[in-house]
Amino acid sequence: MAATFPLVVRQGSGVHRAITIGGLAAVALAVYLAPFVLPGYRLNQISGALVLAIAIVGLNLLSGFGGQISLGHAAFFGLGAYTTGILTVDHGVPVVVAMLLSVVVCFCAGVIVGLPALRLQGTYLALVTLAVGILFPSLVRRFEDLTGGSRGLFGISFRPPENLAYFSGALGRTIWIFWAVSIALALSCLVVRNIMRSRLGRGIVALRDKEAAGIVMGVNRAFVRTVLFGISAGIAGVAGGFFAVMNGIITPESFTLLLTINLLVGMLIGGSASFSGPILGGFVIYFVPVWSSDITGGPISGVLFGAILIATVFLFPQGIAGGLGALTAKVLTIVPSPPALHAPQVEDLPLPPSEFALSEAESADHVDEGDASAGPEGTMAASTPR
Amino acid sequence: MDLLLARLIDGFNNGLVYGFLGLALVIVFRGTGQVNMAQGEMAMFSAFTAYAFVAVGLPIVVAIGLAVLVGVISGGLIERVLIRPLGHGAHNSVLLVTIGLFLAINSAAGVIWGGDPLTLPAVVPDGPGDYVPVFGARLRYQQLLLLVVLMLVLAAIFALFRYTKIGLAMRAAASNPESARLAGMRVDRINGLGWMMAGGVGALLGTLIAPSTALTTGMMFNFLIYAIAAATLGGFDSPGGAVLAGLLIGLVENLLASYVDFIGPDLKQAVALVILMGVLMVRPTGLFGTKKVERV
Repeated sequence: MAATFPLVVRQGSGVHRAITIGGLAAVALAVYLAPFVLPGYRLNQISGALVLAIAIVGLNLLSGFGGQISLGHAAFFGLGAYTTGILTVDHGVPVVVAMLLSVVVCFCAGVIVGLPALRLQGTYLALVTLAVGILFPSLVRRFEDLTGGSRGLFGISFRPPENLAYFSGALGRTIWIFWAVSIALALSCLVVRNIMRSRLGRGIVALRDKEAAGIVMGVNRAFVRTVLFGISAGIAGVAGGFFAVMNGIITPESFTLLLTINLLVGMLIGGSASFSGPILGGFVIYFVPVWSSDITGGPISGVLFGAILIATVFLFPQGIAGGLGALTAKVLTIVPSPPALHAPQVEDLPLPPSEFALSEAESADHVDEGDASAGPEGTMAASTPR
Repeated sequence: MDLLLARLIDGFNNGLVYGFLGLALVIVFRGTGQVNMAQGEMAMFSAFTAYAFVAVGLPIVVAIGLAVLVGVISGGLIERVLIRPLGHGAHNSVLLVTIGLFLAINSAAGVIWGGDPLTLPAVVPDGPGDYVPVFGARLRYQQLLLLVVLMLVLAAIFALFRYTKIGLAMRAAASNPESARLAGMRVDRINGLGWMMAGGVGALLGTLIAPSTALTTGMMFNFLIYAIAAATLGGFDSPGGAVLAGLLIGLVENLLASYVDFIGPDLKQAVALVILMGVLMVRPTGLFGTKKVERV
C-alpha cells in the first residue's frame, strides 16, 4: 500500500505510544553509548551543554510557557552553584543532598523574586529580574567570607561511588558526571512536562495568553505566578549545582548578565514553549561559541554569534524545535494535538475513523489544508469548524 | 563640606550620563515597546566612528557631527531592516534582535579597533586646570558641556513632542498605535524616526563622554544598566522622567556608597537597583509613567 504523507497517528493509540517509547529508547541508548564512543573531552563538553540545557528547561518554564522574560536567571543559576559549593566545601554535606537543598533555596529565592510579578507587568517585571541578575555577582563579591569573593570558591567535587567498576578508571569522574547530568536533565524535563499537563500548567498558559481572562476563569494569579518563578528558579539551581561540581571552582564572573543572555538565546534558538527546544538550545549555546572561535578565533566569533542569533529570529521564529516540528509534520501528524499551548482543544472534535487510514479523498483534503495552516496541529484544526 | 560637594558633583555627573542614555532608551521604547539592549553599544560604536574621523584629520567638532549623522542613519537602518519586519507585538523577538545586535556591535568594534583603550580628544579643554570652582569643588568644563548639551537635547525633544505635528504623531503612535494608524498616520515610519533620534542622542552621548571614560568596547555597558534603571524609574514613556530619575540615581548611589560603610563600592550598583525595585513596588509604572488601562 502506498503511504500517503503525512501519516496520521492518533494520540494515545498503540502506534503513537510505540513512536514515543521508541524515541525515548533511542535517546536513552544514545546516552548509554556516548561514554563508549566519545573521547573524554567531548563527553565533558556534552555534560557542559546538558547543564545549560537544564537551566534553559527552567527558564523555558517561566519565559516560554509562562511568557515572563527573565533577565536574571544567572542569579538563580549562581545561587544554586554557590549553595552547593558552600554546603559541600565548608560543611561537608554530600553533593546530592547539597543539590537538593540548592533547589529548596533557589525555589524560595524564586518565589521572593516572583512577588513583584503580582504587581508589575511585562517590561517592568523583566527589569526587576534584570536588577536581581546584576545584583547577584556584586553580592557574592561583597560577602567574601562566605563565598570567597572574586577569588572564587575552590574544591567542589562530586566523586562517583567507589564500589562501581563502571565509574572507575581514568574517565570515571567524567562519565559519572555525564550520567548524573543526563538524569537530572531527564527529571527536569519530566517535572516541566507534568506541570504543563496539570491544572497549574493550564493556569500558567492562561495567564500568559490573556491574564484578565485567566483570572476571570478562576486562575489564582498570585499562587501561579510565584510558584512558577519558584520552580523555574529551582531547576536553574540544579543546573548551577552541576556547574559547580563540574568546574570545581566558581567565581562571580561566571554568573553575570552574559550567562542570562546566553540562556535566553538558547531558549529562543532551541524553541521556546516546547519540550525539546531547551535541550537543543543548550547544545547550541555551548557549541556555537566553541566552534565559531575554533574557525575564526578572537572577537569576530562574537559577531558571528550575534548574527546567528538575529538570523534565527528571522528564519526560525519558532526556534529549531519549531522548524523540526514543521518538517516532521510533513511526514507524520499526531492528532489530537496535546492540550495546552496555543492549539485549540480538539479532544471533543470528531477523529478520523482509524489510526492510519482516511479514505483517499478525505486524506487528500487533510493534506492540503494541513499544509496551508502549516503546523503539527494544523490538520485537524483547519478542517473542522470551531 | 567640600568633599560632600565634590561627591554631589560626581554623582550629578554620573546621573547626567544615565539620564542621557535613558532618554535614548525611552525614545525607542515609546515607539517599539521594547528596551533597545544595543543602545549603549550603538553609542559606543558612534564614539569609535568619531575617533576614525578624527584619525583622518577632521576637527573633533566636525567628527562628532558626522558621528551623530552616522548614528542617526544607522538607527534608522536598524529599525527598517531588523525591527520593522518583525511586526507589532513581537516583543520577545525585538528584545532578542537587540541582544544579538549588542553582541555583534560590541565584537565588531573589537574587530575593527582592537581591544586597547583609545583616546578621543575632548571638545572643550580638559586638562587638570580646566574647571569652574564651585565653593571649593571642581566642576569640569567637560561636565558642564555634558549638562548643557543634555538640557538642549531635552528641550529640543520636549519642543518636538509638544509643538510640532510630527511630535504629536509620535505621541499618538506611542499611546495607541492602532488608532493612530486608522487616523492615517504611518506608525512604522514614526517608529523609525524614533530610532533615528535615539541613534543620534546616543551618538552625541558616546562622543561626549569618551574623552573622560577612555574609548573601549566596554565603555557603555555599565551605563546601559543604569540607564535602564533610570528609564524604568522615570516611567518608560516619559523623556523628562528618565533624565530626572537618572540624576536621582546618580546622586543617591554616590552618596550612599560614600557614607554608608556597609555598602561601599562593591554594592554601589546594588543600591541603584534596590531603589528601582522599591519604587516599582509602590508605583508599578515608574515615577512619571502613565498607567496603562487594559480592556478585556
